[in-house]
Amino acid sequence: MTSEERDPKKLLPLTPAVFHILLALVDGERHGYGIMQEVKTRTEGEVRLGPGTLYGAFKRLLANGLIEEMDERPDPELGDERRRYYRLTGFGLRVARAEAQRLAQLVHLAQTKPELLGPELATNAGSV
Amino acid sequence: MTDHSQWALAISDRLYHLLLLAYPARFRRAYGRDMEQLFRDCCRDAYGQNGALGLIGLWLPTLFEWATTTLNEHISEVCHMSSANLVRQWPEGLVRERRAGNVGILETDGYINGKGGEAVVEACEGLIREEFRHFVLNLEKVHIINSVGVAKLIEMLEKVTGLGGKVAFCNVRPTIAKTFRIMGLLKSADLFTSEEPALASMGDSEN
Repeated sequence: MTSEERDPKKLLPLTPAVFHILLALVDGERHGYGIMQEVKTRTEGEVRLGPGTLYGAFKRLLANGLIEEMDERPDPELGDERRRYYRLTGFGLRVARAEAQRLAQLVHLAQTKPELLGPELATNAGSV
Repeated sequence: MTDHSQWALAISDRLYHLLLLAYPARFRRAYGRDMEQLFRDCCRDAYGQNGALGLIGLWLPTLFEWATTTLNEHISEVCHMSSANLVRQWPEGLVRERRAGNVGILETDGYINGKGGEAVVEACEGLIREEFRHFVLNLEKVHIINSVGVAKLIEMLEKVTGLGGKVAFCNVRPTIAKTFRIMGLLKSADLFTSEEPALASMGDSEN
């Protein structure tokens, strides 16, 4: 079965760590440290991925064909150390998109419940 | 960088190196070096921001994360071993995966057509993701292979040799061996009468 024939919904729901990694790779290829920094910055430090979580996720994402490894190359910001870069595959992008849609539907459902409409949800209502 | 900071970072580096030994060997081989490098970067950042306190603040969640992910990886390893003899099927045949040291063995059965060849390529790709680079393809139970199947095997050969690996065919029927010779597969792969000498030929190869 090729990746074009695989149903991305079969891999849902994604864990928060995996979804954050895919989101970090949507903008382009990155190495492990770059992904960790991107997630930390984007979530204002709320989500911190440790090495074990990050590389455990890479192993599973590679095995499922959601990301692929690129050649090692030096990071100009971090001296001459060679790093492995990862990028999203076409299937990985479809899985990330499906997860985003799933979460959007969930938020939409939550917004239909008046009891759940606290200040933050009320502010964002209609913007999803 | 002061002597104190260098000392603190070196100790952290050494301790994390020791902690990595708790992960399954296969996982460590694949990602250990990258994890050490990543942790070194985090230590450098933490020390740069808050000195020794920053380093302690990094170590506490790291220890918790190490404990949970080590356990997860061991569970994952056990699950993987129980499915080690994975079988991929297509209507006219199947391919079984086995592992012998650093060599992946693919044993096929039936008719290798386009779908069969695709299953062989997928099995090979799965093992490549596990860091296998050398493969033995046992064709003992293959009675026929068509041109699309041959093209898929060429694709597999190119993938493996492109990564610096080796492929050996064994138990190949004379008519199929003749096809392989005509199609040029034997220019980049060797032919053996059985699995044993095929595996032995990989002995000198580095993983």
